[in-house]
Amino acid sequence: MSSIMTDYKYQLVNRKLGLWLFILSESMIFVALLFTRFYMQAVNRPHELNQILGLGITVILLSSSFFANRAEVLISRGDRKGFLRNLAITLVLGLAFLVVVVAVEWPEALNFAPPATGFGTMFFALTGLHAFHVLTGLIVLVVVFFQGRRGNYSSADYWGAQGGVIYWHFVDVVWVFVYSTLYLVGP
Amino acid sequence: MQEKKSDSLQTGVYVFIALLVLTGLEFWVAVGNIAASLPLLAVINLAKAIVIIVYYMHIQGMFSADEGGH
Repeated sequence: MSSIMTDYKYQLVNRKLGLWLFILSESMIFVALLFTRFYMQAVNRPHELNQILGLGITVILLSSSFFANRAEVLISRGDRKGFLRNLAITLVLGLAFLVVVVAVEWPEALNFAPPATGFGTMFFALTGLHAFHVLTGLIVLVVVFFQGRRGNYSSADYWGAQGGVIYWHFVDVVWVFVYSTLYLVGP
Repeated sequence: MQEKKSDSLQTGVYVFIALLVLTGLEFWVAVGNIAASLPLLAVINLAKAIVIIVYYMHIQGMFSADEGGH
């Protein structure tokens, strides 16, 4: 029994390390793109960029992270209903973020920053890559949600849920820098 | 243990409020034509990222088997 437990703990630490190494490698892609934005455009930014919309979607994503954290805490104390409720709110907010970026922000940005321009290239590359990560994060959280509904997580073993939530927070951390770099930097 | 986890819920609320305040602050720095806004934005961004990585992502528990079960 004790050997099984030691085995489980060893595997858990390995899985955590694997996730963090994955997050680190993903971060490198975004760091490169963020630096490219400054290399190509210095601190210039089109004045037409909708800063209020940028602020709004930032608040939506931060709120989704808040509910994801609550979901994780609740499953760690065995509250499955609370976990599912908070995860569902996270999913709705994440989907809202994605819909606003793709259906509202992109068509608007096409008018003053088409992809053929320097800023447009960086805007669509950064928001596009980030939106793709939001999409994959949503898929992961949907899987976590259904696993949770089946009762596959408990206060004794919730790494599957925690791993998905950590990835979702990573998407949030990336947006902190993308938002500021695209929407706020510049005269 | 239960008490510690209730604290975690409360910490989550404080972290969320801190993130909202920092987001408001960086917006004000950007639109308010504040001098040296670029370094200020960089500092605020780093603060936000650190708060999320430490309190939401639990980076300090990377090598620990205490969280995630058992």
